[in-house]
Amino acid sequence: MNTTSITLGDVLARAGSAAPAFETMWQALWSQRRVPPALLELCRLRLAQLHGAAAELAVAHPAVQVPPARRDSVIRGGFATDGQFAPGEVAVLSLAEVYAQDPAAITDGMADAVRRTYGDAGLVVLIEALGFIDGRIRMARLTNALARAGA
Amino acid sequence: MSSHLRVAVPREQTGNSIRDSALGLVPETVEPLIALNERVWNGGAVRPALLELVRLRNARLVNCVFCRSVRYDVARADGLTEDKVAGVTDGYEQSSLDEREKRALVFADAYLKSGGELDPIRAAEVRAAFTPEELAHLAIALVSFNAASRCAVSLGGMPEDLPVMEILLSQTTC
Repeated sequence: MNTTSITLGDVLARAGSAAPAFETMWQALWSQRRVPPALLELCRLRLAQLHGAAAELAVAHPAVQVPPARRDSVIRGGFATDGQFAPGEVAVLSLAEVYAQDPAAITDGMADAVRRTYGDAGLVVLIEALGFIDGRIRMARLTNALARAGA
Repeated sequence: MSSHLRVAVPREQTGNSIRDSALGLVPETVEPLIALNERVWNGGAVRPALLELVRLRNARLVNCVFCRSVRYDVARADGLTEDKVAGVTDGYEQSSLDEREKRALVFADAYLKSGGELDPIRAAEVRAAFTPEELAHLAIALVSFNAASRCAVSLGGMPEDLPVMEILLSQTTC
Protein backbone atom coordinates (compact mmCIF):
# COMPACT_ATOMS: atom_id res chain seq x y z
CA MET A 1 0.00 0.00 0.00
CA ASN A 2 1.31 3.43 -0.92
CA THR A 3 -0.01 6.02 1.50
CA THR A 4 -0.59 9.59 0.28
CA SER A 5 -1.73 12.80 1.90
CA ILE A 6 -5.28 11.84 0.93
CA THR A 7 -5.22 8.42 2.64
CA LEU A 8 -2.89 9.24 5.54
CA GLY A 9 -5.79 9.48 7.98
CA ASP A 10 -6.57 5.78 7.56
CA VAL A 11 -3.01 4.85 8.50
CA LEU A 12 -2.96 7.13 11.54
CA ALA A 13 -6.33 5.98 12.88
CA ARG A 14 -4.62 3.98 15.62
CA ALA A 15 -3.38 7.20 17.24
CA GLY A 16 -6.32 7.29 19.63
CA SER A 17 -8.48 10.36 20.05
CA ALA A 18 -5.93 12.58 18.26
CA ALA A 19 -6.78 10.78 15.02
CA PRO A 20 -10.36 11.99 14.57
CA ALA A 21 -9.29 15.49 15.63
CA PHE A 22 -6.59 15.39 12.95
CA GLU A 23 -9.14 14.38 10.32
CA THR A 24 -11.64 16.99 11.47
CA MET A 25 -8.98 19.65 11.00
CA TRP A 26 -8.19 18.30 7.52
CA GLN A 27 -11.86 18.31 6.53
CA ALA A 28 -12.30 21.85 7.87
CA LEU A 29 -9.59 23.10 5.53
CA TRP A 30 -11.32 21.54 2.54
CA SER A 31 -14.82 22.67 3.47
CA GLN A 32 -14.06 26.32 4.22
CA ARG A 33 -14.87 28.75 1.41
CA ARG A 34 -12.39 31.58 1.91
CA VAL A 35 -9.90 29.99 -0.49
CA PRO A 36 -11.49 27.73 -3.12
CA PRO A 37 -10.77 24.06 -2.36
CA ALA A 38 -9.96 23.50 -6.03
CA LEU A 39 -7.15 26.02 -5.62
CA LEU A 40 -5.92 24.16 -2.53
CA GLU A 41 -5.88 20.98 -4.60
CA LEU A 42 -3.68 22.74 -7.13
CA CYS A 43 -1.39 23.76 -4.27
CA ARG A 44 -1.27 20.12 -3.16
CA LEU A 45 -0.23 19.07 -6.65
CA ARG A 46 2.42 21.79 -6.88
CA LEU A 47 3.87 20.80 -3.50
CA ALA A 48 3.80 17.15 -4.53
CA GLN A 49 5.73 17.99 -7.67
CA LEU A 50 8.30 19.96 -5.68
CA HIS A 51 8.69 16.99 -3.31
CA GLY A 52 9.04 14.59 -6.24
CA ALA A 53 6.16 12.64 -4.72
CA ALA A 54 4.89 10.61 -7.67
CA ALA A 55 2.25 8.81 -5.62
CA GLU A 56 0.69 12.17 -4.68
CA LEU A 57 0.45 13.24 -8.31
CA ALA A 58 -1.43 10.05 -9.14
CA VAL A 59 -4.32 10.82 -6.77
CA ALA A 60 -6.88 13.59 -6.41
CA HIS A 61 -8.70 15.00 -3.44
CA PRO A 62 -12.16 13.39 -3.60
CA ALA A 63 -14.05 16.57 -2.73
CA VAL A 64 -12.84 18.74 -5.60
CA GLN A 65 -12.55 18.64 -9.34
CA VAL A 66 -9.76 20.35 -11.24
CA PRO A 67 -9.78 20.71 -15.04
CA PRO A 68 -6.95 18.62 -16.50
CA ALA A 69 -5.39 21.58 -18.33
CA ARG A 70 -5.06 23.58 -15.11
CA ARG A 71 -3.76 20.54 -13.27
CA ASP A 72 -1.09 19.94 -15.89
CA SER A 73 -0.11 23.60 -15.95
CA VAL A 74 0.47 23.65 -12.20
CA ILE A 75 2.44 20.42 -12.15
CA ARG A 76 4.54 21.69 -15.04
CA GLY A 77 5.14 24.98 -13.21
CA GLY A 78 3.68 27.07 -16.03
CA PHE A 79 0.81 28.61 -14.09
CA ALA A 80 2.33 32.10 -13.88
CA THR A 81 2.63 32.61 -17.61
CA ASP A 82 0.22 30.41 -19.54
CA GLY A 83 -2.86 32.61 -19.08
CA GLN A 84 -5.07 29.99 -17.44
CA PHE A 85 -5.05 31.57 -13.99
CA ALA A 86 -6.33 34.80 -12.49
CA PRO A 87 -3.82 37.04 -10.69
CA GLY A 88 -5.09 35.95 -7.26
CA GLU A 89 -4.65 32.30 -8.18
CA VAL A 90 -1.14 32.94 -9.42
CA ALA A 91 -0.41 34.73 -6.13
CA VAL A 92 -1.59 31.71 -4.13
CA LEU A 93 0.40 29.20 -6.17
CA SER A 94 3.49 31.39 -6.11
CA LEU A 95 3.31 31.72 -2.35
CA ALA A 96 2.84 27.95 -2.06
CA GLU A 97 6.03 27.36 -4.01
CA VAL A 98 8.05 29.58 -1.71
CA TYR A 99 6.35 28.16 1.39
CA ALA A 100 7.42 24.65 0.40
CA GLN A 101 11.04 25.68 0.27
CA ASP A 102 11.28 28.17 3.14
CA PRO A 103 8.38 29.99 4.80
CA ALA A 104 10.80 32.66 6.01
CA ALA A 105 11.42 33.59 2.36
CA ILE A 106 7.81 34.69 1.83
CA THR A 107 7.88 38.41 1.15
CA ASP A 108 5.39 41.08 2.15
CA GLY A 109 4.62 41.51 -1.54
CA MET A 110 3.70 37.85 -1.93
CA ALA A 111 1.46 37.95 1.13
CA ASP A 112 -0.18 41.20 -0.01
CA ALA A 113 -0.90 39.72 -3.43
CA VAL A 114 -2.88 36.92 -1.78
CA ARG A 115 -4.65 39.32 0.60
CA ARG A 116 -5.80 41.53 -2.27
CA THR A 117 -7.99 38.73 -3.60
CA TYR A 118 -8.74 36.60 -0.54
CA GLY A 119 -8.39 39.01 2.39
CA ASP A 120 -6.64 38.55 5.73
CA ALA A 121 -8.69 35.46 6.54
CA GLY A 122 -7.90 33.97 3.16
CA LEU A 123 -4.17 34.39 3.74
CA VAL A 124 -4.51 32.72 7.15
CA VAL A 125 -6.46 29.78 5.72
CA LEU A 126 -3.98 29.38 2.90
CA ILE A 127 -1.01 29.28 5.27
CA GLU A 128 -2.81 26.81 7.56
CA ALA A 129 -3.77 24.61 4.64
CA LEU A 130 -0.27 24.61 3.18
CA GLY A 131 1.05 23.46 6.55
CA PHE A 132 -1.24 20.45 6.67
CA ILE A 133 -0.97 19.63 2.97
CA ASP A 134 2.81 19.78 2.95
CA GLY A 135 2.93 18.00 6.30
CA ARG A 136 0.71 15.16 5.13
CA ILE A 137 2.78 14.72 1.97
CA ARG A 138 5.93 14.44 4.06
CA MET A 139 4.31 12.18 6.65
CA ALA A 140 2.82 9.89 4.02
CA ARG A 141 6.30 9.38 2.57
CA LEU A 142 7.72 8.72 6.03
CA THR A 143 4.92 6.28 6.77
CA ASN A 144 5.75 4.43 3.56
CA ALA A 145 9.44 4.30 4.49
CA LEU A 146 8.57 2.81 7.88
CA ALA A 147 6.22 0.30 6.28
CA ARG A 148 8.89 -0.83 3.83
CA ALA A 149 11.30 -1.35 6.72
CA GLY A 150 8.82 -3.72 8.32
CA ALA A 151 7.98 -5.68 5.18
CA MET B 1 11.60 36.82 7.82
CA SER B 2 9.11 39.66 8.22
CA SER B 3 9.23 41.38 11.60
CA HIS B 4 5.72 42.76 11.32
CA LEU B 5 2.50 40.79 11.47
CA ARG B 6 0.99 40.52 7.99
CA VAL B 7 -2.63 40.25 9.14
CA ALA B 8 -4.66 41.74 11.96
CA VAL B 9 -5.48 39.77 15.09
CA PRO B 10 -9.10 39.41 16.25
CA ARG B 11 -10.43 42.41 18.17
CA GLU B 12 -12.13 40.24 20.74
CA GLN B 13 -9.64 38.45 22.98
CA THR B 14 -10.81 35.27 24.67
CA GLY B 15 -7.84 34.16 26.76
CA ASN B 16 -6.97 31.32 24.40
CA SER B 17 -3.57 31.98 22.84
CA ILE B 18 -4.46 30.18 19.60
CA ARG B 19 -7.88 31.77 19.11
CA ASP B 20 -6.53 35.22 20.03
CA SER B 21 -3.82 35.04 17.38
CA ALA B 22 -4.32 35.73 13.68
CA LEU B 23 -5.62 32.17 13.37
CA GLY B 24 -8.75 33.39 15.15
CA LEU B 25 -9.73 35.31 12.02
CA VAL B 26 -11.05 32.00 10.69
CA PRO B 27 -13.42 30.45 13.24
CA GLU B 28 -14.21 27.48 11.01
CA THR B 29 -10.60 26.29 11.17
CA VAL B 30 -9.37 27.66 14.49
CA GLU B 31 -11.82 25.66 16.58
CA PRO B 32 -10.79 22.31 15.03
CA LEU B 33 -7.16 23.39 15.46
CA ILE B 34 -7.68 24.07 19.16
CA ALA B 35 -9.36 20.69 19.56
CA LEU B 36 -6.50 18.98 17.73
CA ASN B 37 -3.89 20.64 19.94
CA GLU B 38 -5.74 19.45 23.04
CA ARG B 39 -5.96 15.88 21.73
CA VAL B 40 -2.28 15.84 20.77
CA TRP B 41 -1.26 16.62 24.35
CA ASN B 42 -3.97 14.72 26.18
CA GLY B 43 -5.20 12.02 23.91
CA GLY B 44 -2.42 9.75 22.79
CA ALA B 45 0.10 7.06 23.62
CA VAL B 46 3.18 9.30 23.71
CA ARG B 47 3.97 11.11 26.93
CA PRO B 48 4.13 14.93 26.96
CA ALA B 49 7.85 15.16 27.80
CA LEU B 50 8.76 13.22 24.66
CA LEU B 51 6.28 15.17 22.55
CA GLU B 52 7.91 18.36 23.78
CA LEU B 53 11.35 17.23 22.61
CA VAL B 54 9.91 16.57 19.16
CA ARG B 55 8.11 19.92 19.18
CA LEU B 56 11.32 21.72 20.14
CA ARG B 57 13.31 19.90 17.45
CA ASN B 58 10.73 21.13 14.96
CA ALA B 59 10.91 24.66 16.38
CA ARG B 60 14.67 24.68 16.05
CA LEU B 61 14.71 23.50 12.43
CA VAL B 62 11.89 25.80 11.33
CA ASN B 63 13.53 28.60 13.32
CA CYS B 64 10.29 29.69 14.97
CA VAL B 65 11.36 31.96 17.83
CA PHE B 66 7.97 31.73 19.53
CA CYS B 67 7.92 27.94 19.42
CA ARG B 68 11.52 27.63 20.59
CA SER B 69 10.90 29.78 23.66
CA VAL B 70 7.80 27.95 24.89
CA ARG B 71 7.69 25.03 27.30
CA TYR B 72 4.33 23.36 27.86
CA ASP B 73 3.44 22.94 31.53
CA VAL B 74 2.29 19.37 30.95
CA ALA B 75 5.70 18.47 29.54
CA ARG B 76 7.52 19.90 32.53
CA ALA B 77 5.11 18.14 34.86
CA ASP B 78 5.97 14.95 32.98
CA GLY B 79 9.68 15.38 33.69
CA LEU B 80 10.99 17.61 30.90
CA THR B 81 14.12 19.45 32.04
CA GLU B 82 16.28 22.10 30.38
CA ASP B 83 19.10 19.54 30.35
CA LYS B 84 16.91 17.40 28.11
CA VAL B 85 16.05 20.41 25.97
CA ALA B 86 19.75 21.17 25.56
CA GLY B 87 20.13 17.76 23.93
CA VAL B 88 17.85 18.70 21.05
CA THR B 89 20.70 19.98 18.89
CA ASP B 90 22.16 18.69 15.65
CA GLY B 91 24.49 16.51 17.72
CA TYR B 92 21.68 14.78 19.59
CA GLU B 93 22.99 11.32 18.71
CA GLN B 94 25.94 12.04 21.01
CA SER B 95 23.84 13.69 23.71
CA SER B 96 22.65 12.25 27.00
CA LEU B 97 19.14 11.76 25.62
CA ASP B 98 18.00 8.17 25.94
CA GLU B 99 17.71 5.89 22.90
CA ARG B 100 13.97 6.28 22.58
CA GLU B 101 14.28 10.06 22.63
CA LYS B 102 16.98 9.90 19.98
CA ARG B 103 14.84 7.68 17.76
CA ALA B 104 11.96 10.16 18.10
CA LEU B 105 14.29 12.89 16.85
CA VAL B 106 15.41 10.70 13.94
CA PHE B 107 11.73 10.36 13.05
CA ALA B 108 11.33 14.15 13.27
CA ASP B 109 14.42 14.84 11.20
CA ALA B 110 13.29 12.50 8.42
CA TYR B 111 10.13 14.55 8.18
CA LEU B 112 11.72 17.97 8.68
CA LYS B 113 14.97 17.65 6.75
CA SER B 114 14.38 14.89 4.18
CA GLY B 115 10.78 15.36 3.09
CA GLY B 116 9.83 12.04 4.68
CA GLU B 117 12.65 9.92 3.28
CA LEU B 118 14.36 7.58 5.74
CA ASP B 119 16.86 4.84 4.98
CA PRO B 120 15.79 1.27 5.82
CA ILE B 121 18.19 0.79 8.72
CA ARG B 122 17.11 3.96 10.50
CA ALA B 123 13.48 3.20 9.71
CA ALA B 124 13.81 -0.21 11.33
CA GLU B 125 15.37 1.39 14.41
CA VAL B 126 12.47 3.82 14.69
CA ARG B 127 9.93 1.00 14.28
CA ALA B 128 11.64 -0.99 16.99
CA ALA B 129 11.55 1.91 19.45
CA PHE B 130 7.81 2.62 19.27
CA THR B 131 4.53 0.79 19.06
CA PRO B 132 2.33 1.45 16.00
CA GLU B 133 0.01 3.47 18.24
CA GLU B 134 2.89 5.63 19.44
CA LEU B 135 4.17 6.19 15.90
CA ALA B 136 0.72 7.27 14.74
CA HIS B 137 0.48 9.69 17.64
CA LEU B 138 3.98 11.04 16.99
CA ALA B 139 3.06 11.53 13.33
CA ILE B 140 -0.03 13.57 14.11
CA ALA B 141 1.81 15.60 16.72
CA LEU B 142 4.70 16.39 14.40
CA VAL B 143 2.51 17.47 11.48
CA SER B 144 0.54 19.69 13.87
CA PHE B 145 3.64 21.23 15.47
CA ASN B 146 5.24 21.84 12.09
CA ALA B 147 2.14 23.43 10.57
CA ALA B 148 1.87 25.76 13.56
CA SER B 149 5.54 26.80 13.44
CA ARG B 150 5.53 27.44 9.73
CA CYS B 151 2.29 29.37 10.12
CA ALA B 152 3.91 31.63 12.70
CA VAL B 153 6.91 32.23 10.45
CA SER B 154 4.78 32.83 7.36
CA LEU B 155 2.44 35.32 8.98
CA GLY B 156 5.31 37.47 10.26
CA GLY B 157 5.73 39.41 13.46
CA MET B 158 8.52 37.17 14.73
CA PRO B 159 10.85 38.78 17.30
CA GLU B 160 14.58 38.09 17.06
CA ASP B 161 14.68 36.46 20.46
CA LEU B 162 12.49 35.58 23.42
CA PRO B 163 13.20 34.20 26.89
CA VAL B 164 12.08 30.71 27.79
CA MET B 165 8.48 30.87 28.99
CA GLU B 166 6.01 28.33 30.25
CA ILE B 167 2.62 28.05 28.62
CA LEU B 168 -0.33 26.36 30.29
CA LEU B 169 -2.03 23.80 28.11
CA SER B 170 -5.28 25.18 29.46
CA GLN B 171 -4.45 28.53 27.79
CA THR B 172 -4.64 26.81 24.42
CA THR B 173 -7.65 24.61 24.96
CA CYS B 174 -10.25 26.79 26.70
